[in-house]
Amino acid sequence: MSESELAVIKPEALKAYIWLQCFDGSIQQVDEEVAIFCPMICREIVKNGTGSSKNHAITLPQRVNPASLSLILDYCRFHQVTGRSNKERKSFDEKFVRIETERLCELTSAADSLQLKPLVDLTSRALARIIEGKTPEEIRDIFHLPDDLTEEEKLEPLKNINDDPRIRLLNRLYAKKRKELQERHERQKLKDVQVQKEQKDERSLDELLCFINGDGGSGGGKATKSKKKNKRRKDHAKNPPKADSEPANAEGAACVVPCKVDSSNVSRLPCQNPDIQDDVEYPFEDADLDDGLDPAMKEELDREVEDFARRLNSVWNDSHIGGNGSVQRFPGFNHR
Amino acid sequence: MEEDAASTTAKKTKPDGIDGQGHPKIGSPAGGQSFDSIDRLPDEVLGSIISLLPTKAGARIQILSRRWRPLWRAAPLNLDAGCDLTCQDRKQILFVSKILSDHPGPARRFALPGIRLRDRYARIDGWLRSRALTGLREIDFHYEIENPQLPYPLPPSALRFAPTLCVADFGNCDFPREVAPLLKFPCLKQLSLRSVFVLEDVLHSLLCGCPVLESLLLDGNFGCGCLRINSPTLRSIGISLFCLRERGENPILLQVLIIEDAPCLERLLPLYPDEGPATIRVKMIALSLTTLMRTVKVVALDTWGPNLDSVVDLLKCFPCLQKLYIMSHLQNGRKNKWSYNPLDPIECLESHLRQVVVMKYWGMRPDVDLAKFFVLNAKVLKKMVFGCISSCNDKWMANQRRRLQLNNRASQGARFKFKRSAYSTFACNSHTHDLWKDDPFDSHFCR
Repeated sequence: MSESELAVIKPEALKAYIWLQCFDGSIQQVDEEVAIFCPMICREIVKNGTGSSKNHAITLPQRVNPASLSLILDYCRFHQVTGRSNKERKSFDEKFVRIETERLCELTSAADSLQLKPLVDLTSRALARIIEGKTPEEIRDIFHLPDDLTEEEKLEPLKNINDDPRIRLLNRLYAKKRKELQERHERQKLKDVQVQKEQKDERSLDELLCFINGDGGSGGGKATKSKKKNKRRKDHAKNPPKADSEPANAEGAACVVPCKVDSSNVSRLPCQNPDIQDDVEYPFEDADLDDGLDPAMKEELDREVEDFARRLNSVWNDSHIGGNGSVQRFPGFNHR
Repeated sequence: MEEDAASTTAKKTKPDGIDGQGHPKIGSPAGGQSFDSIDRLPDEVLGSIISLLPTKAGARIQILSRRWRPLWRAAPLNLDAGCDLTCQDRKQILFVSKILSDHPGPARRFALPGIRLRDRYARIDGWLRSRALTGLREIDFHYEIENPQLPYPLPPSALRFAPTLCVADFGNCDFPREVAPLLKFPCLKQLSLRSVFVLEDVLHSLLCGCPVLESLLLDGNFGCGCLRINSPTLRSIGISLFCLRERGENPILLQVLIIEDAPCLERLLPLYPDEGPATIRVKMIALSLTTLMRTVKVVALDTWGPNLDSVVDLLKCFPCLQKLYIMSHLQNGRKNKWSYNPLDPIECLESHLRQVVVMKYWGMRPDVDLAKFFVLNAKVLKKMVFGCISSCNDKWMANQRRRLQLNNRASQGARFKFKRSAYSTFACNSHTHDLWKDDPFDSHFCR
C-alpha cells in the first residue's frame, strides 16, 4: 500500500533469478549469479533472452538430469564466490567428486553439455583416477562396459606395450607354429602334385572355414589387417620344428593352429589363400626370448596354445559334420 | 530400441535397452539412469580422461570394448617412459619408438625422466620430431649422466613445442647456444631446470620468452652466475645450488639473484642470505632486492651459523611475510646478538609473521639466540615449531623453554612445539610448483 511497505518488499524482488528446465520437464529456479557461471546458460540469457521467467525457462540439454543439475549448481554456487582461497577451492573440489561412479559419469556428461570446463576437468581427473591401476576386467565391471572384442583383438594392442611376457611368448609361439605349418603346407603341396584329391580337400576346408567364420567375424578385421606391418622373421625358429619331436597332441595342435589363423584371416577376407605371410609384429628382437622364462613357463604356454587349439578343434568339429572320415584326410590331424 | 540408442555407438553385441543380464534398463529413456553412462560421454571427453592415464593404463583401454578400441589413438598421447613403462634401457628405447610410430598425435605429455644418450642422439632427435608429439603441452626431458666429461646436448627439436608447452622440465642437459631464437614460450606456466648447463644470456632470453610464467625452479644449474628476474606473472621461485652433476673445473654457479621486478611473487625458497668467507660450504647466493616484496608471504632460507643478522636483513625485505622456514646449519663460534630497536621496527614482525619453523634445531647457544629473537619480538606470532635433531626428552624441553624465555614471549597467543624431525634439507620441487597450496611445506611439517 504505502511506499514504505513496497520498500520492504523490494529487496527480495530485485534479486534476479533464472529458470531452468530439464529434459524431463521439471523446472528449477536459481540465483542469476550462480546460473551465469555456466557458459551455456550465460549465452542463452544474453543471446536469446530466455530464462528470466518461469514461462520462458531455459531448456537444458538432454544430458543434464535433475540430479546432475543440482550438483552443478552446488559447484557453481561455491566457486562463483570470489573471496575464496585456492586451498579452499581445492578442498571443496576433492570432496565434491567423492560420489558414486555412476553419478560421476552423469555429472561429467552434464557438465560437458553445459560447457562448464573446470568441472569437466575435475570430473575427468576423478574418472581417470578410478580407471588407473585397474585391470580391464575391473574397469568393465565398474563401468558396465560390454566385453565385445574377440580374443585376438584383445591381444593385438598388447603387442605394443607388453608387460606380460606370457602374452609375448604366446604370440611368438603362434607365429612359430604358423610358420611351421606354412612350411608343412608347402611341403605338402609338392607332394600334392600327385595327390590332387588332397588339394581339393584343402580348398574345401577353406570353404568350410568361410562358412564358419564368414559373417561372424570381427568387423574391425580389415582395419587391423592394414595396420599390421608385414614383417618377415629374420631368423627361423630357434628350435627345430616341434612337429617331429613332440607327441601327437602338439602335432595336432600344430596343424590346427594355422586353421585358427587362417580362419581369422578368412573372416576378414573370406577364403583367402592360406599361404599367408608371417605378419605378426615383433616389437622386440629375438634376444628377448631369453627373457628369463623358465621351462615351466614355456610348458605352461605350450599348454595354453594347445588348449586354444583344442577349443578351436571342437568348434570346427561341431560345425563341420564331416565326421571322422573327412577329418582323417588331413595327415596328422588326429584327436588325442 | 530406445531413443538413446542413437546416441551410443553402433555394433554392440547386446541391444541397447538390455543390460548384461538381459534385463531391461531402469530409468527414464532420455538422459536418465543407464548402465553404461561412461559410454555416453562424447569421444572428446573420453579422450581427455584417457590422456590423463599413465602410458600403459592408457594403451590398455583399447581392449576394454569395441567403443573404446579406437579411443587411445584419438586421445592426446601421454607417453611417460619412466619406470612405470619399463625399467630396462633397451626396452625403453623400443617402447618409445613403437608408441610414437603408432600414435597419430597430438600429444599432451612426453616424459623421458632418464635416458642414456650414448649414440642415440639422432634417434632421440627423431622422436622429438615425430608427428605423434605435435601440440605437446608438457615435457620432461632428462638425460642420465653416464660420463660427466662428455657433453649432453639438448636436441633443438625439443624446443619445437615451445608454442604449446605449459609445463617444461629439463635436466642433465646442455642448452646449445643456437636455440636462443627458439626460446619463445607463450603458454609456459611452470619451468624447471635441473643440473642444466645454460649460458647467462640464453637463460635470460628464455625467461624473457615466458610471458605467463608462474613458477620457476632452478636446481643446481651452471653456466650462469647472475640472474635477473623480471616477470609480471611469476609467483614462485625455487633455487637450489647443489649441483649433482660434476662438470669439470670451476663451473659457474648462480651467485647473484636480482629480483628487479616481480609484483606477484609470493614464494622464495630457499635462500642463502649469508655472505662472507666460506670455509665449509661451497657457494652462496647474494640476494639483491631492489624493491620491497610486499606480496611474498612464505620464505624458506638456509642459514649458516645461524646468522641472525642476515636473516633480519632479509626480513626487512619482506614486510608482509607470514611464514618463515629456517634451516639452520650450526657452526662453532657464532654469536647472535641482535637487539631490536623499537624505533625502527621490522614490519613483518610487528604485523604479519604468524608462523616460524626452525628446522634442524639443536638447542645450542647460536640457534637458541636465533629462535629467541623471534620469541621476544614477533608480535603476532601464532605458532613456532622446532624440528629437533636430538631426542627431545622432557628435561631437555623444559630447559629449552627456559632458555628461549617463552614466558616473556611477545605474542601471548603463540604456541611452541618441539618435534622430532630428520628433515634436513629443503626439497624444492612441489614446494615451488604447487601454487594452490597456501603453505608449501604444510604437509611435511606443520601438522
